[in-house]
Amino acid sequence: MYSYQDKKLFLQTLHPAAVLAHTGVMFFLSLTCSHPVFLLLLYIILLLEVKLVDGLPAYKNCVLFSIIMLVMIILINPLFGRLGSTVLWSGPVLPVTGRIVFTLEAVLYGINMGMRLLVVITVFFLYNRMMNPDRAFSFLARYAPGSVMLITLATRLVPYLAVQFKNIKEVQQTRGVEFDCPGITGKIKSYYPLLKVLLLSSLENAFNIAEAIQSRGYGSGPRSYYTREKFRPRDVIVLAASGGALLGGMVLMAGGGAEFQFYPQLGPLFAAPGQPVVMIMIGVFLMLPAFLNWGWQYWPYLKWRI
Amino acid sequence: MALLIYLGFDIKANPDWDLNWSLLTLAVALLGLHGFFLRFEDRKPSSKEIALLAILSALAALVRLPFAAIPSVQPTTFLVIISGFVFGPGAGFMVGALAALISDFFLGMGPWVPWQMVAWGLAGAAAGFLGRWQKNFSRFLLVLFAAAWGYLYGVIMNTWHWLTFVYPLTWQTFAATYAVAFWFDTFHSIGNGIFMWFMGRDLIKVLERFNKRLLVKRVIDANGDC
Repeated sequence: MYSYQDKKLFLQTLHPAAVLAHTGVMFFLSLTCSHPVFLLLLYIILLLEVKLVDGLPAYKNCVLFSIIMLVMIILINPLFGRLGSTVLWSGPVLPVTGRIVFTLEAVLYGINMGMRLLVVITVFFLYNRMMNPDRAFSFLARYAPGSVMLITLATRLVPYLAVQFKNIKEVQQTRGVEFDCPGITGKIKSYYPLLKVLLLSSLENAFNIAEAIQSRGYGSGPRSYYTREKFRPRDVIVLAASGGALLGGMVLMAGGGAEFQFYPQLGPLFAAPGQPVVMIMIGVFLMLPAFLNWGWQYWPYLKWRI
Repeated sequence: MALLIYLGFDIKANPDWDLNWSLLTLAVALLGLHGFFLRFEDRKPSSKEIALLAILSALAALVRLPFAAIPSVQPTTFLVIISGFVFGPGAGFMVGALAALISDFFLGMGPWVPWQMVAWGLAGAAAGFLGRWQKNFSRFLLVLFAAAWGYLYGVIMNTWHWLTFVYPLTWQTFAATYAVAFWFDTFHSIGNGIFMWFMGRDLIKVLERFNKRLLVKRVIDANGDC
């Protein structure tokens, strides 16, 4: 049921800290740097990594799912942003919004923001594909044992409750309860006893779970661990590269190269000195996991070393 | 509040104040969640509390999944609200935040996760404060509260969307962002109201019974004996 699938791919073998750092830095950079060239660079790297985790078919569905949000962003910006100076089309006067004016700058700004959303969605998609939630939990459990215990328990209970739900439904169906009532109200009326039974039985079960937790020594001392994550050279490289990319992002922001001037009129593509060089450097740092993936497949020596 | 009103009036003159609002608000949301979970850790929750919260949030997350196809109509908000109403603001926030997080493990993580956690968490916490204030509300008032949270949830999510992806930050763009989502919020609100109308008081009774069973009061007399 998880959106994560373990395919034993290289990027899935990375330490949770390395995955968190890599995707976290990309997320941070996509929110702080909105230069179109930079966003495009990020997107290309992300697409490559999505391909490396075997996720392109599922990624298409993910993009289709968010298409309404994307179109809305691309439309709202030019509809209401009157800051641009190059008027493309001047429409009728509407009561609340005033005259509709489409400016080139606002259209491009809207597309750029749509791109940003696409990048952010892709970062999360990549994270879902790279990180096994169980490993993420056991990693975080060191810092917040109580909360992680609660989250893992609740996550594990979802499939269990789904099975219970199905069982109760079947029992009720054999007793003649109809679940195919028309309309929302009819559906709620027919599903209501089901939900109530599920709630009652699962709350009853909560006491058993509590006893089980207690009998396994919960709260009697520091948490113990079943498995330990290996920290390999590949993780060090990815962590260092993520640090480098973050540093590059800071340099880009400090030099004013993280933004592109849209308003009042489009500025030059690269306004800050050294901007393209810093962007390429960040790109190289972020590409390192993909390079290691290549080495893992085709370069036995590198595979042995990492 | 005063700062918000001031910002509200001033926002037109200074479209974005050269601040990265998306990052700033994300940081505030994450800090809030972090603070809450930290408090939960410090309290050293009992095994019964953990089991109960896990069951409630798993149930709230589960009921979101089969309804995901119908836009915004799901009993999650309703379950979060009644949990908060019976077990208090802390438990309400936890159930709301966890329901969002866990259901997103199955539906797919996205940038919206922290905001959903905050929005549902606040719905649970608000219901908790309501329950602390008074327990015997009429059915109509409970329905009104649940329906209001359909819109309030929308306000939180739309504000996130507006701050992150729209420019300039003016009332017009906010209204437009909100208008696009208005029908989804209305469906959400109506759904909440219907769930509360049909199931509210009954399920609150069920939860209250379990709340009493969970609470163990140790009465100590003057000599220190139980």
